Amino acid sequence: MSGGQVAALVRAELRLETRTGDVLRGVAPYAVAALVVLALSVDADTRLLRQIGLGAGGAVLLLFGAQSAARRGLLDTDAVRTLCAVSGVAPGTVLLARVVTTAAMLFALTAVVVPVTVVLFDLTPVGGWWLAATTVLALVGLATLTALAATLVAATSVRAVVAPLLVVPLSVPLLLAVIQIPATVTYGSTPLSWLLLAALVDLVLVTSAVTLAPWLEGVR
Amino acid sequence: MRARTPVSAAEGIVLDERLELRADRLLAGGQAVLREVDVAAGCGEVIGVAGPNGAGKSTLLRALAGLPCGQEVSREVPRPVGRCGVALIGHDPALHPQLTLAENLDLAVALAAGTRGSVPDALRRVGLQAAAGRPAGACSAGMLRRAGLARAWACRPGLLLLDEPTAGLDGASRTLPADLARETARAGGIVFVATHERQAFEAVAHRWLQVAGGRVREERP
Repeated sequence: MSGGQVAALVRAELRLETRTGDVLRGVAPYAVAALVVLALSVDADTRLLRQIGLGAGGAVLLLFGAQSAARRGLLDTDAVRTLCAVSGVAPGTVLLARVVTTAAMLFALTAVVVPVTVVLFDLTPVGGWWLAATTVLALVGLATLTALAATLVAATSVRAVVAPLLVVPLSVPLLLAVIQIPATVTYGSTPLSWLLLAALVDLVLVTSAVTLAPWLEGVR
Repeated sequence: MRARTPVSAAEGIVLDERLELRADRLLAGGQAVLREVDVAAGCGEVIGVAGPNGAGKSTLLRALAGLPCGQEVSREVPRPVGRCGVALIGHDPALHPQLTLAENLDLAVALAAGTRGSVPDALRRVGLQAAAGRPAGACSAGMLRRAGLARAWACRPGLLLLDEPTAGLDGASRTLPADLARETARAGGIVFVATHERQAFEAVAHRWLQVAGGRVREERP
């Protein structure tokens, strides 16, 4: 596996995303709109808004982040896949590039969703570094899962429907780990178990990705 | 057969090593296209591949490139050639339409193994320096063909596979594929050229393979 090849594929994929805006221009506005609708539907009850805020933000991020699995990017084109195969790029390198690209897009989507959620739901940061670390692990896990799902259903014509359906149920433990951190800290416990849950899910997903890469990223 | 050009020791390429491809069947779209394939080539050789449409020339090149073409395919590439990488310049230019020509070539060069050339120089070789910033999707078929050749020039492959490289090229560009084949062979690489325009490669090809009737045969002079 070559770091230079991963970097080149990620750079090209992100360059393409800045031109097409599939995720950030196509998905982010709808994620923000969903948050606005959710906040408006709870009346002016600030206490309730605070209670559901993190969960609502997490769910919106998960649902709209999973849409990136439906995106057809550089690595989904036959020309680039053939170029990779002929150039001797290892399947693991291609899958890693896909994971890194998806993670970058999810972090960008998070950067949009978090401030909107904080403002709309009147959230105050609770959990500090625990929350930040668990969120990062959850995003890495979600990116791996999204990349795996995107590759699994790449050849199907119903990709836009099937990929998010695969991602959402399997990412529930990651969402749960993030939204339980503030409550655990508020009640005076250490949220280590939630952090470890996110890390364990990541480990399972990364192991699956490494194992399945030769079958998933070969030339079809 | 013409004498092969000697290769400098500095490039680490040994002329005795040979590329070999053996297969009972080569498949395209699940159908057996070629049978009892046994092809070999030495470093520094340019081999022409001739045959009618649909005979299996492109399938042969795909198999030589190491792409899946069946189950029991044995392919051995000399290590120095393998280290320099493989380039398959086919009907599909392998360029992403929303990336510029320069960005496409940058990507190909970054993925390629071994020594690489400069992308601006490669684009200049094929007369596309002014179109470097143009998206591949906005280029004509002939420009994409030339960009494909520029990709090979930039990647400096050890094994170069050209599939109908003169198709779609204008008069001024028709000598480019032969020039590329000659330079690659001179650097110790192996070149296969599948073409209907034999005369464009007569001066550069050391020998010809004839693909017809599901078989690959060495053409006797």
